[in-house]
Amino acid sequence: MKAETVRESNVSESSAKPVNDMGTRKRGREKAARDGRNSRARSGLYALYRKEMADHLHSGRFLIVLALIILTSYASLYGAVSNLSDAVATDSDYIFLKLFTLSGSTIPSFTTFIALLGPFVGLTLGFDAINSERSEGTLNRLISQPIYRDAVINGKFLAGATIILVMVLSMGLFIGAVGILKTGIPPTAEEVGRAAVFLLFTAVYICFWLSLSILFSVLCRHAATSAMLGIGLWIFFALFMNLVASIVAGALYPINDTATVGRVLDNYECQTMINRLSPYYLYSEAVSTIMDPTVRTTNLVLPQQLSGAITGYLSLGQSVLLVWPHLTGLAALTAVMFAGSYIGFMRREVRSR
Amino acid sequence: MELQIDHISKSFKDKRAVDGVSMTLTPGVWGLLGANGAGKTTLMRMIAGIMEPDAGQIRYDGLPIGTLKGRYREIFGYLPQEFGFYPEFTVKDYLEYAAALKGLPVRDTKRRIMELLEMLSLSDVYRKKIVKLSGGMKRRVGIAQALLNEPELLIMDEPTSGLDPGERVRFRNLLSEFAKDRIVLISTHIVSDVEYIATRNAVMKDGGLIAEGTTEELVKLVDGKVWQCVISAERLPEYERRLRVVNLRNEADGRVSVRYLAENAGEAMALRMTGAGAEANAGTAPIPAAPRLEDLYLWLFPQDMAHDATGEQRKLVTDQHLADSSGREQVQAAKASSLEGGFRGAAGTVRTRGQAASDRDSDSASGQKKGGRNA
Repeated sequence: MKAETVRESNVSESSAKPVNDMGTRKRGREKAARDGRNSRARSGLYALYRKEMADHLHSGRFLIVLALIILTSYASLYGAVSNLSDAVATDSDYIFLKLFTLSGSTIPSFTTFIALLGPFVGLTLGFDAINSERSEGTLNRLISQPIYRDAVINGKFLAGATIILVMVLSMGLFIGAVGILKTGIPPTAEEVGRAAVFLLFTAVYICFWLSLSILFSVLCRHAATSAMLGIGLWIFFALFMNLVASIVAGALYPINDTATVGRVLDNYECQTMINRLSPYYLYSEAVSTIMDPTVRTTNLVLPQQLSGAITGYLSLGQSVLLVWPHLTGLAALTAVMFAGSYIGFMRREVRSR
Repeated sequence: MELQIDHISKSFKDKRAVDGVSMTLTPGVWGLLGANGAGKTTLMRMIAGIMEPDAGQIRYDGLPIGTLKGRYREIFGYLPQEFGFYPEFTVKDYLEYAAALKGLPVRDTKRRIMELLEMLSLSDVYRKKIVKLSGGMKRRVGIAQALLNEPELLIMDEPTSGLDPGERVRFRNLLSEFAKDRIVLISTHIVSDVEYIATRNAVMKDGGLIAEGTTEELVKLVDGKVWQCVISAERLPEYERRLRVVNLRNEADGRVSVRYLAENAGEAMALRMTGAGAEANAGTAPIPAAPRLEDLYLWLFPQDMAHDATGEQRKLVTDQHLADSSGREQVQAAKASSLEGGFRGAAGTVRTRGQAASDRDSDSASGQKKGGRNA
């Protein structure tokens, strides 16, 4: 930009035009040059984004994971539809939402499946985002192109996030469409709204895993290491976090036969707080609240607090208010992970293979 | 148009990869010579803006490249030493992707790609996957992507490795033509690649710049140090052991024509008259040969001469002695000045690191500013 300025000023000096006119023209040209450069940089990001999208859509591993998700979605939908008549017999409201939350006799619900398998999609999309470029020697070439360096990591994240969004939306539409065909009952506006919030939560949840896996791909030299780290953390959050939370809570607030109500409450709150550090728990809690309008709180409620309460459903707005901290928490975790990978990528020197 | 490299240094942990290199690149082909590990690639990566120097600055037309950012990358093409490619890409996909990253207008992209493919004899493999191409072809695809945006500054790290002799000649001619009003910097240790086409050469050793000049200027540094003689085949092992033999050629009469490097003819003359059967197998007397850039390279990098055990040992001993007494800077200065020593008259136009160091010393001593770079 300075070179442009220097050249422009040389041109200006030799020109015989009036000063004001000259200044305007110079500023105009500088702006045009700046716009041209920004546009080139943007086109670089767009090229990268498109390439990443194409890579994901053509990659065998993504297609396998997608097939797995579609199969499990279909299985959970089958289970839900099979048990729908029994469920409707006791509560005939919000039938459309039951397609997502109802589990079959042996098959978990769609929301449970997504909470468990969603991270796998995020990990698959990002575990080798940067380190594979590094090991294949393409990162060198990439960052020597006239694009901003952060376009590389931004492009990769944006492409992954787009794929996740499209996939989640498609699954939601698929289940909705099949559900309507099976039940013959169109969803109400509130049900559609709740399903949309659920899909948004799911997208943010999977994006968290995407940004985490990109972070690992920045930090680890080998793709295998970053994949193992991601899978390890996924298994830990999904299976062992609850165990750890109960052990820690039990150690801090032990409950025995003589434990007071206060101690039991402390133990429960401690356990919940620790569990809420896990994105898996945050997501599951938020989704069960959004998809079930009968859930009125995410915390412990004592019988005294319930006395006098009128049984009813929460409106969508009230349910969203309940899980708003969960959504912001998940989004913040995603942003923190992405910021970590961004800083790591920008600061780390790109060396030869 | 000029690229100024001003005292740049770069270290990796305890290794100093580039050590205070200064030079000014002007339009033309610049050959960057040096053995493996001399710091060529690190220097090029800093010029390409991929790496930040620990000290010093690189300026393009007087402006630090760090401040030019995208504008700087728009005007240069870069071919790294290791050609990384996406295995699923065809040549077409790859070049179109590179063109998109460089922000080339779509309407110009296809025309430019076709031109380059034609120029680099890649038209037949346009739709082939890069992974299925030969090493030379992959290299040419890399060259094509570097030339896509018709860069003002072209940086190529070992561009000819993997190319066959015909391709190499075509590539050299292409570069000569391309470099008319552009700066082209080629790093290589294949000396013949730059011998004829380089406007100027820079020689790096141990991270430092030890010599800079035109090919003619540089070869004058070894003028009178290149000898040739014809000896009997039986004497060859002894010659190889005692002298820095550059080239051997079997003659029709069973004897061997030897080209070697030596300070003077004395050692070979002595060798000629000693040993068993010396009289009968004396061979011809050594005569001075016309020096080439390769001779200079081998003179500067004796470790590259596989057979020269004695020479290597002698050099190491000398280096060690000098390093012990007065440090690394003086070793380099001594090497450079020893080069100039015997050929002071011929090497008047060449600037070496040793000369630069002594200039700096005398500048500070006299307080007078000396003239600019000799060219």
